[in-house]
Amino acid sequence: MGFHVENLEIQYGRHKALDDVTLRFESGALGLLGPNGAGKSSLLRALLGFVRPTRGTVSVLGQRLAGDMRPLRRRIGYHPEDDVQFPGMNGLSAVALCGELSGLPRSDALQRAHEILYFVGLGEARYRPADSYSQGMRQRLKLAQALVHDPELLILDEPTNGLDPRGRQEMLDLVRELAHEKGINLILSSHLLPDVERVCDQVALLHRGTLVRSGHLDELLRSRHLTFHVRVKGPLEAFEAALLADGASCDHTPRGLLEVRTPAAGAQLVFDAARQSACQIRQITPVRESLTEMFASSVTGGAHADS
Amino acid sequence: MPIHDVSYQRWQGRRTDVPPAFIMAMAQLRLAIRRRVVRIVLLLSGLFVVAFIGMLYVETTPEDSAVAVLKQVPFIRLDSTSMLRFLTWQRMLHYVLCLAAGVGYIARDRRAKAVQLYLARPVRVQDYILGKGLPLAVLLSVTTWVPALILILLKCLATASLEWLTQEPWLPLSILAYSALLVVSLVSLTLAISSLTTSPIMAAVMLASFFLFVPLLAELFRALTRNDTWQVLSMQASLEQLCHWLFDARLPHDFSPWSALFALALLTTVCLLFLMRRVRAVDIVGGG
Repeated sequence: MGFHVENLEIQYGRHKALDDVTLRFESGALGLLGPNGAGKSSLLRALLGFVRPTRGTVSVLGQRLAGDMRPLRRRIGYHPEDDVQFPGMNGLSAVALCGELSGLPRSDALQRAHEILYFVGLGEARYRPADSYSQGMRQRLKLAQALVHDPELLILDEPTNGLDPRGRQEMLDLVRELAHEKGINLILSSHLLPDVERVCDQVALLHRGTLVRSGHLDELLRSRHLTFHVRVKGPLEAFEAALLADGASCDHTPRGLLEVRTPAAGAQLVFDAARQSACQIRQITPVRESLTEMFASSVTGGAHADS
Repeated sequence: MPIHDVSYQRWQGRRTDVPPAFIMAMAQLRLAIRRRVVRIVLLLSGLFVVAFIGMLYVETTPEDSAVAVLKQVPFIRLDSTSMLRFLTWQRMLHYVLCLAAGVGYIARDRRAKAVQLYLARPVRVQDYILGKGLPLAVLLSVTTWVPALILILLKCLATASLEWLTQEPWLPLSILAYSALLVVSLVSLTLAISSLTTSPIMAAVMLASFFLFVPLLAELFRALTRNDTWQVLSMQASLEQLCHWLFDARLPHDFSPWSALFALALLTTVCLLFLMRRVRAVDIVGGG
């Protein structure tokens, strides 16, 4: 199991960073989404045991967080959001030190450090002082430090921050490979929806410290409402009237198609409306709602609920 | 730059239980020794040792030797008095070591936000503090009890007898006790001041101010109240008093060595408690 938080509440002074969050993540890649201040970093800090919850329970990798965190931290890799580094060290030493601290023998830590630095694309720069690395190289170095001890759970906090488009693409490819081909469970916290959509198969949307939605990405995108692009031959007005009568809504796209948003009944409703209005369906294409649209509607919904 | 040079490999090895403080200390020592100022201080300390080895040579040379005339010089003799002198001469180097190496350890980590990188590993706050304190303790040891005990050993070898040591059997223990007091108090003070700021230079200025102005303040209070006990406030005076007490020499100040011991213990405790709070709070608990 990745982690399980139940009724989690974290408070900094008077500010409630997380409020009654219950979330379970078994395995795969989980995207933590939310605008700045949503509580993503607080949730990650709680998972790492950096902050004590005001209320609720936290279990990571099947172990409830209490007392000595050291055995658990050997199994977790953490890529912090902040621009962090060990001062005065070169890339290789910094990664090897992380490996040693996580329990790898020194020789193994050094060997792993070489391998991982090549894996993240810093092989040629591994003997350079980390202070001289560019922003993109530092992000890769943090990923190498998180990976060197071969963690069971990888926590990535905004790993694409400050990367140029190509660097971002490469970083996401790496993370995707880790999650989908190497079987490493990972949590990706980001406010960049395309990043999460590309890497993760599960998402949790946080907004103002509360969990707005969570679940498998495909199910979430499918469950809201089904949208189709339809081309018909026949009386279009009658077809639209039939659709509206059955609870669907329609819009005309610039490409001359009819965008039909149906409730749970889905495509069957479109076929029924066509039969009633004596139209021939020449084309029907399901349209997948983007994560951005889902996020916007969820957050707006949450905001409305707040007000 | 291609990103995929090799693919990710799982690690199948067996984890070890090496204390993280030891791993951190070794890494920090490797960095410290690279610094020129640290190497110069260690070299200067080594020169003192060489000078004392020269003294030892003169002391143990046969009477008919050409250098035997130097034996008439009063301080050419390796005993508790000369050991006291050896450790006292090294004191300035200890302060330089603290200023040049130790005081930057936590300040640099705070500036680079490395504390959370350490604490995200199986490293507790006390491991972190120990890991930062050990390298400075090693550097200070290299200039205190290590050379002093080596000198004693050399004298034993040169004279092929332990007879001289039986006259002062407490000497090795005195050296170790004084060194322990010096190392523990200096390390805890240096790290506590280092944790106050994110700038190593500012931390060095604060530590230098502590070394300079606290004795001045103690002296001022002593002059105003005509009471020597105020000097216990000065870390240097307390260490000096304890050093002379441990080596059975005439005490330089007019206050009890127990007061000095209490003052140093109090300073060390306060510094360690302060460190536990600073390292726990800094860089970890921030905004949501």
